[in-house]
Amino acid sequence: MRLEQKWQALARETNGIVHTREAYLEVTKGLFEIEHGKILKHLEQYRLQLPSHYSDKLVCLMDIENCGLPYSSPINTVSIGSINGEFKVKTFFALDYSGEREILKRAWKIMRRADKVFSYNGKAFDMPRLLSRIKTHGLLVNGQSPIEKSLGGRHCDLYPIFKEMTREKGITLLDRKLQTLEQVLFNTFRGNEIHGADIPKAYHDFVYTSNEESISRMATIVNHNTLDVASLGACLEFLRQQGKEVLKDPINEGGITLLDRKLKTLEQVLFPILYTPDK
Amino acid sequence: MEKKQTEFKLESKRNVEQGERETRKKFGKFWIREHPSGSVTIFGNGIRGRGIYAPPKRAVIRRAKREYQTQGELSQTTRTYVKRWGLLNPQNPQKSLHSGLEVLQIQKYHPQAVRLSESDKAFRSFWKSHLIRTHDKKRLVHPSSRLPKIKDFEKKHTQEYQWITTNVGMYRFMEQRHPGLYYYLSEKTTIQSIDFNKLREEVLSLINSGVSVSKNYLGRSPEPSEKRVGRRIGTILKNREAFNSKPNYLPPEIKTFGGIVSYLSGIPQDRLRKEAESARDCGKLAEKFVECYVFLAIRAGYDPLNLNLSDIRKVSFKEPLQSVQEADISDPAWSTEVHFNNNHTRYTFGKNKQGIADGRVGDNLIEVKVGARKFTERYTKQVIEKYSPNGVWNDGTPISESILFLHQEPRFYESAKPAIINAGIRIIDFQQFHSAFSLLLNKTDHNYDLIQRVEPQVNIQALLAGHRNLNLENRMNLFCREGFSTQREWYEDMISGIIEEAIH
Repeated sequence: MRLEQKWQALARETNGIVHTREAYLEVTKGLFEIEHGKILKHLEQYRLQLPSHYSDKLVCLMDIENCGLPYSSPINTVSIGSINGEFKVKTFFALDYSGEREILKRAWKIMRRADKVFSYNGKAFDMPRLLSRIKTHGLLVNGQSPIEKSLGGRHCDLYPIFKEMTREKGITLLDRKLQTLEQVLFNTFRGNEIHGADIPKAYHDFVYTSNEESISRMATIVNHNTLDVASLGACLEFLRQQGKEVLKDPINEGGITLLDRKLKTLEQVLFPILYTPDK
Repeated sequence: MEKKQTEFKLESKRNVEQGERETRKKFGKFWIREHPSGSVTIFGNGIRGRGIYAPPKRAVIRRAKREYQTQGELSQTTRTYVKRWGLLNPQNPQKSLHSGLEVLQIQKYHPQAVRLSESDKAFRSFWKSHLIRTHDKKRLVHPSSRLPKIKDFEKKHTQEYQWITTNVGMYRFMEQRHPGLYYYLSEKTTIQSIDFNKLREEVLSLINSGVSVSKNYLGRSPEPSEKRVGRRIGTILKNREAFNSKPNYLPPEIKTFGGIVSYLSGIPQDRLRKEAESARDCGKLAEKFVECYVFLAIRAGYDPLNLNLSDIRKVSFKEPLQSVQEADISDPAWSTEVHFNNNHTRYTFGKNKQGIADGRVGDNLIEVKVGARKFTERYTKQVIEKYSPNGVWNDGTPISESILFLHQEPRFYESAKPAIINAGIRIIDFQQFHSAFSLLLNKTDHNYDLIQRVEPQVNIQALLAGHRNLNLENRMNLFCREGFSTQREWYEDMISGIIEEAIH
């Protein structure tokens, strides 16, 4: 199979568009194109819309897949979910190692102008790796590196918030995977998924060979990344609903006390974009 | 008694000298010979036998006046001429400047002619106080705006500048009028001018932009700003004890240049070294590119050392193309005569010195150079000695031609190019090689394509972009970093795959 044929085969499986010259694949999915068990139900149920007076704001959700744990390992997939009038997930996938620069450039372009960027375990994993790779490719203006400077404090990691929340419910999150949180919050389980540790090898196989198996495995990974971001959107919406409940009457609502203690912090983190009540 | 021949010669010489002496005139205690142009030659006691020459008065006067006006002082040559005229001063015949100026009637230049008040006036008109006060604010809006420098002052008010430097000193003079302005303008690296926070930002910026922060590079960088960072770190290293309090605090255990870079940047020193090691991988990769080209060209039926491929329309690897340079190139024996990095590339040069070439095509030597190393005089000599085609391969065959493939920006080797070519070494620059390589890859016959069979699958655009990374200095600075190791391996695998496919 020729190189272009291989790329087109992947594009067919993921419903994406191949950019041959820059060697990357772009998959764009709206709310109703995402097939994700009960998560979809949650996404539909919750209104992933910003309050009308914040319609000019852009909230992003971010997740990456890379080719190994070291910071020097390339990133192969970046998914960015954007909430601004409608919920949309854009997945950028590097079709080979040369495509990494382009996907980082495109993802960074969106994130840079976002008013808030949410991730799950992003502070420890995604953001440092993403910024390290962006730095390596020389894409940072003036070569400034710290996360705080680059995103100007607009990044928010949801993992510590959910960890605290679930602990108060009496549940301990066994690991930092988003799928674990999905099970806890939405009681859903994603089958037929590739383990995170196998992703580097699957990507390597995809770049080096051209058999059907490697293509279909890669399609699964790209899809997995898209679903991760969709799921992150559902988690965020869950948080918003919880927050609203607490805001209504924090004393009388004895059942929903989980956010009481952290409410101030949470408000500081999410406010004003998500916590300002609709007019 | 007969005179010897030598005695005749001496006598005739004496006669000539006697004749010459007759043209001399007595002038005070000296003898002078006047020339039609107005110049004189002076003879006499304490002056060398053939006399000393003093150019015409008017020429010396013109020269001296011009120099006083432009430079404020006389050059060494003019001083010598004026002093020589001083010997002809009737009142004070001495070889001195004072005496010479009297003879020539040139008014002596007095630095004191410019007074403090004039210097002060010039200073205040040059650096207007309200502009200095508002400059920082102005820079926020126009970052490129700058105050005029001390050098500019020297150019515009030469006499005032000289008065200040000889009588007061520029630093003291400026500090009395605008404290802090001297350090603000001065580019000299002093302990006081170093700000750790600023330097940290600069070092990080260099690292993040992919520039090497080694002592060697920063010390010799062609970029003044990079060189300045190197100088500042050097000053910190020399005066470690002075940096003992915040914000400019340096832990006492840090005693090396790399240690300071590591402390400032927050990157462990071993990782900084790894970055440097990665640069060597780039060198190997460049050799692989050349090797790949050579084998591909042979397989397509071209002379691998003739890079003029502009006339090709389609390259098929199935059968050798008919071409102008067909000759014996299609002979499969060629492939056995091409060697890269093995025992066949060992050779002897100079006085029994041993060398290993990057490649050997027939009896031709191939060497690939990559990176930002400048061809200095010393380095050029080394290159010429090592690769000039008078060496012998270790199997006894003489080297017929040496070819240097330079994957560098021309500014690094432009000055040394004529010397290298004169030494009989052929230079193939990056542009020439890259265009031939891309022609060969892009015009492959897709119906029967060698490249499509290679594993990993070859992305021709990416491969060519990777090759370009090795040339341009800015790209190379990024590409040679550790973060690109996976990508470099991938390129190497693709090239190795092509080579393997081309050979079999």
